[in-house]
Amino acid sequence: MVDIPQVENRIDANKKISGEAEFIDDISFSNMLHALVLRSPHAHAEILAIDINEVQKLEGIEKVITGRDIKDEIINIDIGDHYPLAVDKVRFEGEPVAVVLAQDKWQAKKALNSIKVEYNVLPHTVKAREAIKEDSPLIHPDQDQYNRHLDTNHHPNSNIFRHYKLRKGNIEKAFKKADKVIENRFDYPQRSHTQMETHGAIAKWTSDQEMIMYASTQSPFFVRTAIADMFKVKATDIIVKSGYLGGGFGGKSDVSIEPLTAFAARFVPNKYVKLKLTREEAFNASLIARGAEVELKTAVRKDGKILGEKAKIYFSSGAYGSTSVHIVTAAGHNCTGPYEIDNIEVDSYGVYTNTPPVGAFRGYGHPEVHWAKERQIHIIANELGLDEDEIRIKNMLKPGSINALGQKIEKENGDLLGCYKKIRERLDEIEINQKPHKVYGKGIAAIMKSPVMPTNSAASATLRFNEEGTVDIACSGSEMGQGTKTAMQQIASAALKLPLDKVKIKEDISTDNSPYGWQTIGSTTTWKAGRAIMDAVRKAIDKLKENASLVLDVNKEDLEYRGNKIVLSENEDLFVNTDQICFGYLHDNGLVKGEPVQTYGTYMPKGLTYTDPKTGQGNAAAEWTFGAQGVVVEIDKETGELKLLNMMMAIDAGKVINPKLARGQVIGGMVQEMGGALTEELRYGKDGQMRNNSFTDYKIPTPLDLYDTDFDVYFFETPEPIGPFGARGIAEHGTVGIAPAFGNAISNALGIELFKLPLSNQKIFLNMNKEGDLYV
Amino acid sequence: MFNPFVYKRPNNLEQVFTLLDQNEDVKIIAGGTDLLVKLREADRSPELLVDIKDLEKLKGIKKNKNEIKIGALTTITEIKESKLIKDEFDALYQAASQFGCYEIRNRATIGGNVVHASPGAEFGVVLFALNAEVEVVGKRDVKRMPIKEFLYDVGSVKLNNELLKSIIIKNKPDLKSSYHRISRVKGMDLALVNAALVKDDKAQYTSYFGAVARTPYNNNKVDELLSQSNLNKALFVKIQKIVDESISPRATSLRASPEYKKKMVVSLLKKCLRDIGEIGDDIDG
Repeated sequence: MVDIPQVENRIDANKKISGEAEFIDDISFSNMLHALVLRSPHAHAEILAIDINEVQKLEGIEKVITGRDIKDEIINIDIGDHYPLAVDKVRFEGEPVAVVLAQDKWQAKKALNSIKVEYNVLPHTVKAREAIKEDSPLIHPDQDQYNRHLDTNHHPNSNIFRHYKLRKGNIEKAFKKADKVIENRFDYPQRSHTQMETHGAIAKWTSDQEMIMYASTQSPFFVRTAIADMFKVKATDIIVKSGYLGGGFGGKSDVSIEPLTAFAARFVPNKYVKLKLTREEAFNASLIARGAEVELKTAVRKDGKILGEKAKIYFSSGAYGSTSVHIVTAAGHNCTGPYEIDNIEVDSYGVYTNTPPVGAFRGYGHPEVHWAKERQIHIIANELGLDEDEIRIKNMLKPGSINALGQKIEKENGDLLGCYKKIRERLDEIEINQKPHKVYGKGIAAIMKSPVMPTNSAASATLRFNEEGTVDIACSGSEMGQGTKTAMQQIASAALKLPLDKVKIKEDISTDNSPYGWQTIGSTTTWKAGRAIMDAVRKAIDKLKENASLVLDVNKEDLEYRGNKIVLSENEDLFVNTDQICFGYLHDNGLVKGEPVQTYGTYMPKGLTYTDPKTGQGNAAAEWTFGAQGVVVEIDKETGELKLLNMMMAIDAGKVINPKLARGQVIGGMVQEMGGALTEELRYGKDGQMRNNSFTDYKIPTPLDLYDTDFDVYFFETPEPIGPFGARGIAEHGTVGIAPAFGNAISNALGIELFKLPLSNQKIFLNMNKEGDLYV
Repeated sequence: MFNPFVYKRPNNLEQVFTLLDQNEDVKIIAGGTDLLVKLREADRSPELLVDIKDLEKLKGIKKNKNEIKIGALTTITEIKESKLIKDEFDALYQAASQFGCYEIRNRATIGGNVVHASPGAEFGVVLFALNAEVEVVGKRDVKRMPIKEFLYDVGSVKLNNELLKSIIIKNKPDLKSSYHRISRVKGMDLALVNAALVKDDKAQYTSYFGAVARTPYNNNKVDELLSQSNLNKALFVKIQKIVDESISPRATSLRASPEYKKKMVVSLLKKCLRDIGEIGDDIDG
């Protein structure tokens, strides 16, 4: 095992503490206009008329842009269903209807009030289960005609724009053999990412073909491609720059406001246009998250063996589909959980609804289906009168198992059983100090996660040795708070056998000269970009040896790289220092031997294919990560208030690069998901308007909610064959099983089964005091 | 984003009243924790904001003979950290401790909280239960009136070109009080329901509940029952019935349903009684 050098502080710590670090809102230009957006007050309506005559005359207003200015600029990531500004129709409250460009924000704001829009309000729907009904209003009646970059298997004349099917074994036979069939429906409502920094972008067209953009994005290359596609220009003529992000969580991994900013800027060539969302806009006019109803029907034998499982998943995906097509798929891949089930039938649907579009969010399809699956296992155990551990362990994926996709699980995929047992052991040893009027419960969940990615989702790195023997590295992956660049420095330092202070990592990204990286998503940066760095280091060492062999006049193969020097393996006295040869060796007489050492490294997932359209199976996931999670809760019998006493996770991380950051990531994920489990839910009024688009009534956990909480994070280290030093990604996994762990803990504490998140104080209290039907 | 406005920060009352006289479209600002949020969301701002933070006469906590006077500009942190308050008015101390968050407590003032007259405000129920009075200062005189008269509806207090100067609480020996609330998260949240209970030296109870009606809610029958009965399980069943029949919280609230709020009134009442040692742990659920 390699020792990874450990840092005192993250590489961005001082800059962030001192305020030196620049975020999008710190960037400003002298010839910059502010864009303010007039947004639809209706969830679903036809636009009959927009009157901008008065507005254009107002002082300081440079330009007013509406949907009528759109020719064919459409955002087509997977489905061409989305214009940057509403054309003739609005499909969610908050959808952009007009943009005002002004030198002064205040003038722009005044102008917004003077734009007159006439609407014809249409019936709307905000929930997938309603939207799939035959009499439901069609949000995209023309979806048959849309251009698609991908066959999403949509259903014509319906709101279903994506249907992913997974078929394994013989499902009907399995249900015939079952001793018992257990059927439940679980609901995971829509949430918001609530990044500390709201979305922002600044764009300038320098010609009608060329644009430069600064954006708070996790995926500058992805934005470049999307914008180039939208304006039919060359991707390389679009430059997207991104620096630090105040949180992303997936909500900045696709495009959100960048196409609109680019579109608006097109009308004022050579001027920068800045769009920065308010908090309220970040709630109802960027991307939102999750929103899935999951029906599970499980055929079990009385000894707890799962014979077969049918799943139906309905995503309330919002008004536009591209950003959730693959969430639907990921949920489908993972909804049967970390278990080997021979007979599976999954139908996962992406459904248009009149809400902001759903996009990626930490966990990406996994938390919503684990909420269902890990609750279902708990309920099955109760119904069969068996221990839930026994059922999980009996059915668990282990080396040699075939997963739902038909992939064979190997030992190198990680130690699921070890993680599960560790969490059970820890839960068992916690002694509860019982207080009056309180009840207590311990809950557990097993998890698995696989990133869904395009088969060609590459990562890359460049490496340069400098004259003093230091190394500069640039690699794909955005720094959005997760500490990725610090981990990269550690990986490079370990691989190069050089001290940390000799390795510098470039933190910002510019698509014109940074190494290519598809997106910073799927917990893959340490794994993929780390691998690319390893590749670049391998090439650099080879190059150094080549230079050294010329200087020492020996065979390259006989040399050994030791960081600051290259030695002859059989005679250590014969060596040359790295800093003497990294630019080529300069002899006293001016003769140079060798070449400067500059290399690149890449990673491309190997052997991924599209899944079979009939079975949904195939080699769709490049890596798997397993773990288990647990919580201990205290519930006030008089109020239903829930207090978190313990929260824990065991995860097979392959190799921990930075224990402090890794622990922080896992705990951060768990606490973020605690919000979804207990308090967070976007709520819509009868008119389809979002009622809680601010922190007044959208509540996320605060430090005081964790005041007495003990956290335990256990890392297992079964090396992953591709990752640097065996490392896997761990950024999202904390979120995956927390909601069911809470649900199971409440069940154990009170004997009630809850099926709909969030598990609010009110819901817990009313249900514990109610006979008969549940409150939802 | 704020719309433009003129900002003035006088340091005496006379100047404040002159500004109020001279301007029609004017707002008073103290801590600003409510007002600035509102202005940020509003389409327009008042023309003038008069900041009264420098009015020394409206600050501080003083004890005179048998009453305690809390200046309207006293911050929540100052109330939380006052030994006098902590020793004598548990409910006030608890309300200050649970108010907003650390940063908000440093800026927000008790006067602002009262004048804002939000139905679930921390200090509404506490000051009503303590039967507090307020001092209102105008250009010519200072008036004194019960807070129950002053705060008469949601967002409505009796101020007419006047300022809330101070809050006065009679300081009775052997007075016991408690405050409890339910919130969705522990830091920085509004009360879904809150309750203040006072037991005076004559063993008379006064209870008030917030966020269940337009202003802090009290039911005489509940107070009488508490004052005259054995505090046993049957009594709380009776009280629950009274509460169920006498309040009808807004059904459209995002924060809690009427059914839950009604139950929480009694749950919080029990917690308050337990706090002041009047019932034991045997009464629960």
